[in-house]
Amino acid sequence: MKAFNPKSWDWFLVGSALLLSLIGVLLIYSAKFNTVSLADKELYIKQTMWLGLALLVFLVTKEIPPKLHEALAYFYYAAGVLLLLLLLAFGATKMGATRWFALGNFNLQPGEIMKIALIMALSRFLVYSKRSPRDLTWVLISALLALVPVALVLKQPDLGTSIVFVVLLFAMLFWAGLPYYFLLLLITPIFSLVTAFHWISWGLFFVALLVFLYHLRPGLWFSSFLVITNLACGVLTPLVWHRLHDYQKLRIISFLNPGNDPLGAGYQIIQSQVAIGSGGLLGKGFLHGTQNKLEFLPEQHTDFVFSVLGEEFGLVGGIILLAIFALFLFRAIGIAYKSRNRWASFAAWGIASYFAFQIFINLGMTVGIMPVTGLPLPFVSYGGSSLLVSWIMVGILQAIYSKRYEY
Amino acid sequence: MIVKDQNIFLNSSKKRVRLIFILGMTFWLVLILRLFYIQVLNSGFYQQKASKQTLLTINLPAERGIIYDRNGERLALNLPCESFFAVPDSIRNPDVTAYKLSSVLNKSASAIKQDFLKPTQFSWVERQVEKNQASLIKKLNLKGIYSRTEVKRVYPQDNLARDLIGFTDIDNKGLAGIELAYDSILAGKDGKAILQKDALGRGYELKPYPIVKSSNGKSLVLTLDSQLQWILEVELKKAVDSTSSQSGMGIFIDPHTGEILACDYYQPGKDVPFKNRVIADQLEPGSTFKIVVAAAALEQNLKKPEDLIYAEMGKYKIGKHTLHDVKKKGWLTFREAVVHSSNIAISKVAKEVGKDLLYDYAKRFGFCEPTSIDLPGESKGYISSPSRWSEIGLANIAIGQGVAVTPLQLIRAYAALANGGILMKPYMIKTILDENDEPIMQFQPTPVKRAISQQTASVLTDFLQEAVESGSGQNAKLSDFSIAGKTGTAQKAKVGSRGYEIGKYIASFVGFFPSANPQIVGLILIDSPQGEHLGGHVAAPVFKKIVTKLVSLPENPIRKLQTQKESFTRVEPDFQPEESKVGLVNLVYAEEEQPQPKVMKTASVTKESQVTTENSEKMVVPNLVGLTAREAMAILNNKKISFQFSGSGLVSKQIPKAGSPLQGKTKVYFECQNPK
Repeated sequence: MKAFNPKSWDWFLVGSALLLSLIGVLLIYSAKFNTVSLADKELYIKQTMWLGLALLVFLVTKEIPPKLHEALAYFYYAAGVLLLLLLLAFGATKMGATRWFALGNFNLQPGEIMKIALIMALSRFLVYSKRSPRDLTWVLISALLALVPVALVLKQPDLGTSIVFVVLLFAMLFWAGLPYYFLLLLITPIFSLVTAFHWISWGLFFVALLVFLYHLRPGLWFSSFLVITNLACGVLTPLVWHRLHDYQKLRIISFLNPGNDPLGAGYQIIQSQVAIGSGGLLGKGFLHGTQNKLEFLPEQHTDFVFSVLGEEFGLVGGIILLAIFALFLFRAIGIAYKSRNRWASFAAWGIASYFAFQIFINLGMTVGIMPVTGLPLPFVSYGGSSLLVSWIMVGILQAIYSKRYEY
Repeated sequence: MIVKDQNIFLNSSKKRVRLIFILGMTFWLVLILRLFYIQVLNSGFYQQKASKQTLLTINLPAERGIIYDRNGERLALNLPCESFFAVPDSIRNPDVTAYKLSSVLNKSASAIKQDFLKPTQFSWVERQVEKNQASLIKKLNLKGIYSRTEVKRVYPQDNLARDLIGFTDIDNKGLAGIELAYDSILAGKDGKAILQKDALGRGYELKPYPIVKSSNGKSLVLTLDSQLQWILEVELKKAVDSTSSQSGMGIFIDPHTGEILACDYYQPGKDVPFKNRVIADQLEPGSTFKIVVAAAALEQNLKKPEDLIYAEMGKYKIGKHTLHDVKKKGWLTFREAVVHSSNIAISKVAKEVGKDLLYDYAKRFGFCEPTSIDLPGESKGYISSPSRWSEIGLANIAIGQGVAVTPLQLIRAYAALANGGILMKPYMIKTILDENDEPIMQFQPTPVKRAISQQTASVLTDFLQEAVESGSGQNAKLSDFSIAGKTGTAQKAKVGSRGYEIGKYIASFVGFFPSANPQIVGLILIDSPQGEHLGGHVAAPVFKKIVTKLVSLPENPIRKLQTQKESFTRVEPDFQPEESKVGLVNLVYAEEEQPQPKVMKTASVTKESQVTTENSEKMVVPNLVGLTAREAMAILNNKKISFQFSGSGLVSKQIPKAGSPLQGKTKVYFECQNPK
């Protein structure tokens, strides 16, 4: 063990993460303050214990040299994919989804591990591949790297995590310097998805895409990849739609129109907004929120933990939390930007964008501008896996930070 | 491994970070704006939604005040009862539940089931269910059917004085009568308790909310006497039914105070009317109005009781019109003119009195102006301005035609005669009691003005007494004591157009008794009787029957009235004023005129009077046989001996016998029979 060197710590990064974690414990305490069930009441103690464990793991992780991760990146990736495969075979199924291995008291979520593994593998690939704007084979391979876990996670099915993988892919390609119009082209399958609900709109979109491709000429492979994926999206979407779980369909529909089904899928969105909105400017005060206490708000301690904060601490509390998150992300991106090691830079960037995406999606969901995806709020939401993975990432960031001047 | 040169887009990295920074800022700004939108701009809306979800306001209903009669009998009260409601979601089998309920309730199963299918969480099944029915429903033990205690307004005295008291709706809100007029006083103020509830409806108290206590309604003590009211209702119904009349009306008031003692309107087959006909109806009074002329003539010294007037043998031409009398008479004294109710003689007197004076006296008696009774919906009556009266108009008005009065105005005028000339404000509400039955407002008799002098009043009383003794009102005559009264037979005016309905009359009788010291004034009006239509024949007997029943009650209201006034009038001064009792009677008057400090004084005076009048009989049971029931009661009352009796008329038997020694609490029983 090396001697403790405070200058090698990114105090803002670690401090803001710790602050967020403590806020999380407080909010969980408040959310379950009035519950009848004793087990629920003590969830904050459980979370505190998880936090303790996570901090330990963090202390270990931050000592692992980034170069070791770099070296093991593909191994991580392979292990992650293997775990996902095993999960599909042997995982525990709950509410129609197979997301974790039950290991005694601990539920291991391979999806969470895969997030880290994918970041590392993509970083490694992008650092060592020959990236040319003319030949986009590397883009295709990156996409393939991401799409394998996406497919496996979709099979569980876990829409939220698969979207995270896709977002990570885009973020890494962005960091790799892929020109914007290619990024735009890569997003076209999403437009394909949206327009596919009617064949005329999709047809018009597809013609536009072909014209665009002809004009840009991004290479044969890339072009054919895009045409194929767009075709696939357009044709398969209606088919996939019918294969989605009802709750997934409802989430999408109720996001588009929450009033449509106020007691069903839209309930969470409406109740979350009622809780936050009723908090007003300054909030009802700690432990004085009625909506989260009186169980009008489902999942108030996990995915919708922000609404507890919004209700009890109001707009001011919300802005403070956003500021802390902003500080955290700012530091993380700073590490990515400053790190001299390319792999480290990519990995830090991947981690930062992972957090940014989770935070934005989760907050957007609680305030009703994003669909309900079931993504927790990093550090704050109740949940051991999420907290552990978050702190591992902080550990990696910290390790990169302390070695930021090394190539 | 250094792979720096592989990054072909390195120079763009700074730009990209800047872009990310801008993008991040935008996202965060979007989140903050959204938060601002729901937490500041729309926070009111969401707060309302939140409190709607979490707060449960429970209404704490105030108990409605009770309506008592003057003796504390309850005329309207509240009865706790069960009301059943359904929570449709928790009903397992609507068909079975509805079927079972329909077996107990007076409702069809399909109607009940319809309520279950409503998309609500609450639906009344049946409200205010009878006790045994309620227990039957509870025995069914149906899931999803619950009961809650509600308060039902009931009128225990078999709907006594229903017209007057009115009724409430199922939520105990006054809809008619006193229930409506005094709703704000009776209703009280509901309180509320605010509870917090969670998503499953369980109560919670995160924050205590103050309970707003309900303040119960105030109770009313009416001036009504339920016994008299009951007698009036029974007799009025009998009279109307037996004469196949259209309707009947009756009022009894205390002339000294203006208190309404009983008041009823009866129309066969008609339900409770929304307006009080006794104060709202305007009708032609007929002969009962003649007292105005008589009073004016006496008061102005235009006529003395023995002055002669020629009654034209029953036919008298005024211009083109002819006046008729029922009984054809020649020369009449003024007294006889009133006693026999001669239209011709009275109209001659009226001519002498003159238009302006007659109008003036009508006003003095309170006609043509509201009596200001404490009930809504009063009419004012109508008499046209005297300058517009023709000669025949004057004659007509004198005999009560071409004027419109309310029954209440009419009886009030007679009350003024009975009490020595003072016009009183009639009233119905005696006392308002708070929740603890403590009086918070007591209404006192209010004299409005002096209508006529006491002397005129006593002369007129004398006339009216004779009218009953030997004149038009003979059918109201009682053997036991004297009644003063006046009959009236008015042609029924058409509603909504001029003229009269052919062959339809309103027969009336106004009287008071005992005439020497009147305690009760009563008015009976029978609308359109079939066959006999004269007031003396139709209305006077009703009055007589009511009075007969009244005085034969063991605890008759007259005596109660007197006790309540707490004046020394326990002895009825009406029966043949024999020499020995004259002093007593005078004493009574004296006592009444100067109110004495209540009971104590009264008692001492009573003793004195006993000493002076019945000294020798002090220690023994008095002889009652041969006396009228009233006399017997008076004697026993005077001696403070409790008694019980049966029958009416003259005392035929008594236990213990006369002359038996009086011990502490001897009770005397006596039996009365009508002399054959």
